[in-house]
Amino acid sequence: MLSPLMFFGLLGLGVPVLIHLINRRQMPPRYLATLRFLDQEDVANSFAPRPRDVLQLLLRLLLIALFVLLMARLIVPSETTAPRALVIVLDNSMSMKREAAPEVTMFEHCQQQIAEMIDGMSEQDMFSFVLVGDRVFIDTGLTRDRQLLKDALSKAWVSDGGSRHLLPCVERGLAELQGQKVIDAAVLVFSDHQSVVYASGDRSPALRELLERGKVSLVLVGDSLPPVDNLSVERAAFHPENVFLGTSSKLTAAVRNRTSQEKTVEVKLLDGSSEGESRAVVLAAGEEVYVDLVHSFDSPVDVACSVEISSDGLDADNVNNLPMRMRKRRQILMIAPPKYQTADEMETSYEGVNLLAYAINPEEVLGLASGVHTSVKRVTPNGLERLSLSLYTTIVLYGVDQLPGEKSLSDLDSYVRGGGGLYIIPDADNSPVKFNETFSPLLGGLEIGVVKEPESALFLSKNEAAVSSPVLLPLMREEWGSPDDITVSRYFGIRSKGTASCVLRAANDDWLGAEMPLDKGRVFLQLFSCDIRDTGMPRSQAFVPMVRAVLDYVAGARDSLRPDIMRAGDTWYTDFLQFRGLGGDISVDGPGKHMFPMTPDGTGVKIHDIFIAGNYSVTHPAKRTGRRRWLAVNPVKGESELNEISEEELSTKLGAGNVSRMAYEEVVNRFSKTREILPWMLMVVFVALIVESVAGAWQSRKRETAT
Amino acid sequence: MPDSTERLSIDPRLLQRMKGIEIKSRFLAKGLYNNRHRSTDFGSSNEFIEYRDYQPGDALSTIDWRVYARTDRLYVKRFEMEANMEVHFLLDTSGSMRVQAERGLPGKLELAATIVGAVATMVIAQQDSAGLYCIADGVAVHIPPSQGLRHLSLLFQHLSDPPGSGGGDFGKLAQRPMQEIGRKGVAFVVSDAIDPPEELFETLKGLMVREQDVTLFQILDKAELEFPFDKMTEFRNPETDQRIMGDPLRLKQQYLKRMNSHLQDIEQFCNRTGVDYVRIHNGDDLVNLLASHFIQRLVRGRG
Repeated sequence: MLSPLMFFGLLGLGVPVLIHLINRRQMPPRYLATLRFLDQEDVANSFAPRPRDVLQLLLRLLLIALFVLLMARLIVPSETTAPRALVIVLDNSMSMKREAAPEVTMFEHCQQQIAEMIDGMSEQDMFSFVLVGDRVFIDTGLTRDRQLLKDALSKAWVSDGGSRHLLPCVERGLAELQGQKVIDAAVLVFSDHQSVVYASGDRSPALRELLERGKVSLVLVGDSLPPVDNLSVERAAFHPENVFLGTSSKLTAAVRNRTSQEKTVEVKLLDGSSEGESRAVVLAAGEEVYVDLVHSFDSPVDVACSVEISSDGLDADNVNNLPMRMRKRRQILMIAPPKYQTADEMETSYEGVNLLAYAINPEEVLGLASGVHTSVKRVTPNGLERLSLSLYTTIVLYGVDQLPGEKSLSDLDSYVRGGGGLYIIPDADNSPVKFNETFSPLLGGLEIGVVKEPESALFLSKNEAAVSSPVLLPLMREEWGSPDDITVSRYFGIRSKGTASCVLRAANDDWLGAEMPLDKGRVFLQLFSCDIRDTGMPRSQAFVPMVRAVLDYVAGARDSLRPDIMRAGDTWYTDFLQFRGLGGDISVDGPGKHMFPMTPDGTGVKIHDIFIAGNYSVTHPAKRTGRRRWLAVNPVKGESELNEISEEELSTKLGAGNVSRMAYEEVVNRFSKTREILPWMLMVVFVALIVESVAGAWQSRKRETAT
Repeated sequence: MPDSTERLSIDPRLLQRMKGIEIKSRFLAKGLYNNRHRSTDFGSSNEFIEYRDYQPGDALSTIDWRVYARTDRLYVKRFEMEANMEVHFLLDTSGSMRVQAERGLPGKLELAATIVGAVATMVIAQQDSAGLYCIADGVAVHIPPSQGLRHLSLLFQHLSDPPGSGGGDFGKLAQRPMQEIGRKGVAFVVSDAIDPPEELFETLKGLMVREQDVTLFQILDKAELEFPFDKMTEFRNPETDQRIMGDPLRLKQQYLKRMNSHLQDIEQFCNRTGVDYVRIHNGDDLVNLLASHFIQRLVRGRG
């Protein structure tokens, strides 16, 4: 029967029985002169149930029973297959790329089987084809249109994503079929049935309810396939993750052997289309190893790299993509008063500004690769007006307490607010009053006070809790060497803190450094000069790392070079500063072509629904000539485990009701050859209704006559 | 007295059927007027009874001279006296008789009044006297026997709406009229006779002892005889308002058993004591039933 729940309607049989047993309808009082012949004992007994009008009762019971059978929609054996309503769910997750037969993937194998089923549709059959992975890609809905289903099947494709949406899709299919009053209704799932697919089943009470109480069955279609060898590149990363032209980076790739045998695999690095270093690795069963491959980057533009291993039973997880972002040459503008002399004298000078310049670009000072990675341009404040500040990643103001005009200050202000970094170091000759007047727009309310010269030089504070900016935490944690040999003997006090954050303190808790965010840029104020008469810092190991850390920190927004990497099916928010202000959509081209709109602020973009792994080129139609940028999309995690779900696990996850696992041939033969006898039942019920009515009328007439 | 405008309506067919049927007492009558009923008194009818010796004072016309010629003795011929007959109706007008019948059938009291009216019409028509007792919780009305159409009209006025209310033991209450009625006549006791019958039996025996030709018309409702109810019903006693609610289908068997036993007792008593017993219910064909009863009574030679 199609609606067995309707058998609860048999409870309705009790209604006429009750009515006939205890018809206690209150009648108007009847005067009876012979009342004394009614015995009280009989009256008491008369309330006991007693059937009356047995014929009518039986007819009514028969009528109700027939009606219940009608509603339950009885089916009887037939010569032909009964009408079916099937939701065919095809998993397009990455694991479906596994080898099912030579040169045939699991996905293609399932496609063939589904095509056979569609060819075998009868006129009354209704099929729905759903392609699902991390989301539903194709859903035809229940239809009798065979051509529509075939077209949908031919457009099916397999992704490098997961199968997050498969169970919700099964649940929706089960719910949809609940309303279909057909003899055979089932959700057929064509998948490799990894455990991960059904992992969330036990957390979906609605699904279990549908399976245990509903009449629609869930069939996991799948032939038992022999296990295949699978090794996978789990993850990979470059160290460093961005390099200057001509330098090298080390790629570390994690490779796992997912077989139960020892395997030898060749791990190969690809730089675009050219091959890089490769290495053969022997992995024990289940072992995961890290393989280092060093590669030199000789192109000034970003490159799409990938690491690959040898082919196996599932090739999709044999590659991991990662772009290498080439660092641009750092352009630093150093502004110092004329009293500090030219670069020629820097090498021998112990002036603070010269020591700072050394720290910024030691190679230049040492004559090694001068200007390759960092270029320092040194000007006096008067030359500031003649420069285009946007060319520089960072501007360093050393010993400057006055600027030549308003324009210089407004240029600096615009530069910082646009994302530039400003590193200000006053020296002991600067006037705090002039300094505060000059730089007040950039300091967020911070004002320096008079120079402090403690009797004995102060050591640095290591109290991390006393600072509110992390930029110099490595210094306090002795990551750049011991700070115990660093002293400060002369520094500016703080008159007003404004909105500044403390980055460094002296042992007496005085501020030695502060930083102020200003729109998209940052300002860093160092309250002691780099002169060795003021501080022992230039003599310490930490000096160069500290200067570089500050420069990196203040230039952070402008100089971010993190590689763009995501997993298939993930949603990723990122900034593309090179497309700032262009608006419109950015183009992401690779194995597939996608367009994503820029966020309203004009810099960010939300990238999503990329389900094919590979290296994608990110461009903007309005800026074809810009620097090329790569987005690496890697296969989803968790799909490399090719173990099928066991019967016990299936039972745990989905319950025991209405779930079966069977091979394709069994599925074809499972559909029953039955038909519904609705017209006959309707006729029988109609006849029974007439008989009951006639009997009722006859009974009433008889009663009236008797009365 | 009831409103004179009210009249008892009697089916003309009944009156037509009853016409010509003579009501006679099986016993000798005793009446004030000469009529055709045999009387215990000696009179001038054609019915010779006996000879007796002449006694001084006897009318000479009564001497049978032929016997004197043969026997030379004076004998006086004695003839029956034919008197009129007093017919008494003891009508039960208690509450139990006033229960309304179902579906257009006449009520018991209506039926009883019709019977009394029809029989009274016969009685008056044959120049006999008819008297009426209406007995409810006492004797509500007593109309002494009399003759004539005016008297019949008086009876009809009372029968159109028989007085009386409440109820009691009809058998017991009828004993006072029984004592008043006197001897030799015809008495029709018309009641549903559903009370315990012992008192009624005493009354009937008393009437028989007084040489009344007694007929008991037991008037019943058809529903009382068949108990056709099938739904939960609250039954009420019309006289005491006692209430019983129950399922008729479960009560029916015992009810009918008790009812039939009661009726059987009455019938056996009547057969045993010579009381004519006629049981009528409101579904019966009164015309045929009543006429046939009086014809049978006549055929049986009573009177």
